[in-house]
Amino acid sequence: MNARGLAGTVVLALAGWALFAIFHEPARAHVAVQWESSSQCAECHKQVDDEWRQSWHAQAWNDEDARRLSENFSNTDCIDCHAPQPVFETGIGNRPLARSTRRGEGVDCISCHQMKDGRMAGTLDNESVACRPTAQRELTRPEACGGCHNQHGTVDQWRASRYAQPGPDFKDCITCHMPYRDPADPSKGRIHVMHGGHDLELVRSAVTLKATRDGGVPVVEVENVAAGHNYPTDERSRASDIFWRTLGPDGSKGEWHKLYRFRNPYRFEVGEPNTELPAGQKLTQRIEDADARGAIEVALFYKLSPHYEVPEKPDPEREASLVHSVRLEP
Amino acid sequence: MKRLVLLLGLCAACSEKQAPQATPQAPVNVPAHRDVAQAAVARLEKELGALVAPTGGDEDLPEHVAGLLETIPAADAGLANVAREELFGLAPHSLPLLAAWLDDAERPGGQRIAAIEAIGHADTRWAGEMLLKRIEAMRERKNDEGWVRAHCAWRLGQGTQDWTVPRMIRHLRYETDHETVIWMVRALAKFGNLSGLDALYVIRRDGKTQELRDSANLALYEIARERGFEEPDALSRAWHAGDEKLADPELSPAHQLEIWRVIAGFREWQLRGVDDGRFTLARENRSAAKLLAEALSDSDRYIRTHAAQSLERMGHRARSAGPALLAQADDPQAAIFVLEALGGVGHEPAEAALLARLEPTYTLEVRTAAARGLASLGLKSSCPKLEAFAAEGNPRDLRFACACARLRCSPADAPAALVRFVTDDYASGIGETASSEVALGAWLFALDPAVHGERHKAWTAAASEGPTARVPTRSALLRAALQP
Repeated sequence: MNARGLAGTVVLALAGWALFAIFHEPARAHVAVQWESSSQCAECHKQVDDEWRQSWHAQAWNDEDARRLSENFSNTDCIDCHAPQPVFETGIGNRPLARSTRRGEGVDCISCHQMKDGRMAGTLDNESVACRPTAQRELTRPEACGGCHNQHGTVDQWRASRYAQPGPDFKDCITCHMPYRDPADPSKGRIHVMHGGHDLELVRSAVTLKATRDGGVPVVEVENVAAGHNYPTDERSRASDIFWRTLGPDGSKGEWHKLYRFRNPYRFEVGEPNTELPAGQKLTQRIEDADARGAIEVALFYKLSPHYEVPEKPDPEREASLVHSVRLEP
Repeated sequence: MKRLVLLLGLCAACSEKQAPQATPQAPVNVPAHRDVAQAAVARLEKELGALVAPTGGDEDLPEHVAGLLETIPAADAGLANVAREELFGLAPHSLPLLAAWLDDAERPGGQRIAAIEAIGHADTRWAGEMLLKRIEAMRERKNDEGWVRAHCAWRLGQGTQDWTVPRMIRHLRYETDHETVIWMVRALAKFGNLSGLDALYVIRRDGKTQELRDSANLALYEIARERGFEEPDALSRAWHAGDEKLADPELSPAHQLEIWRVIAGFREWQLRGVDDGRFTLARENRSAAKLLAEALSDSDRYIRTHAAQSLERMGHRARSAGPALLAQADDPQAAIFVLEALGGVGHEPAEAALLARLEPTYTLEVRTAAARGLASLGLKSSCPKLEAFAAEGNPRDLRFACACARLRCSPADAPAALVRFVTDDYASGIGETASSEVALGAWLFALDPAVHGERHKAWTAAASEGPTARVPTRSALLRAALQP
């Protein structure tokens, strides 16, 4: 090798070293990156971010109902779950605590993924990217959701169901609420919209409504066929009502009559029973009203907010969402 | 070679995009923690002994008690008084029999009232527990007899069982019978606890009947006059301000035990009990602040956190806890709650520590919490630093918290740009609306009433609206007031 060749080799070696130093150093320095907003995550995880922004987790702080019921969070008790510290900070399975900042982001990437050491819980280990993900199975377990969602008993309801038992029927929170984007290729990850009680199609898939006659008396049956927890779950806000009305031969429709309500009342509604329908269970109700001997329509409605404007004269078609309806001939 | 240099330069430029931010320095004064709450519960339980039902008495005691209970409501006043005195003399052995009689809904009301009186007259811990349980049974759907609860509450107020205070406060959160509420508030007042005045105001306004509304009003005035106040509003203000002229009875060991049980319960997983605990302790007597201050050193983060929150909610009534809070300002897990509490209790010596924690050497969580603490402290001397951190270029959460704090510390001379910044957040209806509303209210009411008097009235009138309607109404008032 001549002198020129040697110099070239040295220059190339130096250049290689410099490139290594430039690219390698920031990777180690990612230790110090502070995650102050979930918008930082969107720089690399745009699809997840787009999905999350459609989710109610993203609305946890901004949702009008939550703000109304908490008086704009002046009832600070509500902040623990509506703007929690990272669940890994308080510990999976433990109760979350409120955070001071970026509350407007609600239950965000950092709430669920950030670990105590600043790394991000995920499905793989990778030291070379900014968020330094680390595989954490706890992230996918019901306990990770339960810190907030079991405050109203949802995870306990699931534990009492057949879905929680190991075996072919086993399903947990993420099976239904965070399905794979592509079931044939799990490496594409899970959908972060986290469909739940605001998704009417999901609600419809949870229950069935049937109506038959027993000696002329209508018998209505609602069965929780697919929800892994009570129908509806939650305390206070969610409700589902069975209504019926007469159908005239001329196509006229009578007024709606309430037959039954599925709901878990809030803690202050002392004396009101919990009438939610547990997973896999069936409720049967007879309509003894003489008017129901003719043709009737029976309908199951769902409400995100339980109250009707005029409780004595509810208008479910306007004030609630139709889940199922059946027509029953005389 | 030039290409190589350009390449290296380009790489360096790219790598700058991923340059890490500075890591805040870890706090240095990490306080030591130990088991406080559970130890206190164990110590007091040992000291007080287990609560056991009285046993013993003559063989004919049941018949004797039954005869007297049947006589009291049926006899004339003179004979009834004799029977009553005799019944009182049969305690404590008679107490379980009296409790069973009280629980028998088939018995005539007069006999059950006589049983309540006799239990109350015994004035022991066990007797207090019997009365309290009959009240609390409502929450378990086991007592829907409002009149029984009202009588039990009345009788508790005649005794000396001050340990019933925290449990009565908690029950008030759920009680639906207005008459019971009135008697519970009176009983609490007997033990120096005026947290129920707010409930009396509600019943005076919204009571189900005129009789109840009058009864609440009478209770308000009687409680006020017993404490040398002409009218209840002044007493209510004095209570909430932690006026030390108001008597604050020493907590009995049994009362301390009940408070420590609530504090120890902060470790519970279910928020329902924790919410009740925070509600209860925030309304406890001033002396409870001493126990909560001790709890700030507990080894459990939830106990420390919720103790700090309870102190903050006690407000100036918990002023005595200021030094203990300050000692925990660098608690690595609970600092954000401690810093807000320092402001909430009005501990002015904490100003320097709070201002120091606005600096970028602390995490954004801590800096923002410190700003919130300064907002509650409300000292004009904090303004220059708050303005500096409210300026553009700082993290938004910090800017906003400092701007709110700046408005509250000296609203009369708040820079218009900061008022606009906070107003914009408030008007969005989705920001830190509760914080901005307090700050903007302070600013609006610092404006000349001669010019803005109508706006002051309109702001106050909007208080009765829900947040959805109130925020646009008040935002419009603020924008109008900001017009040059």
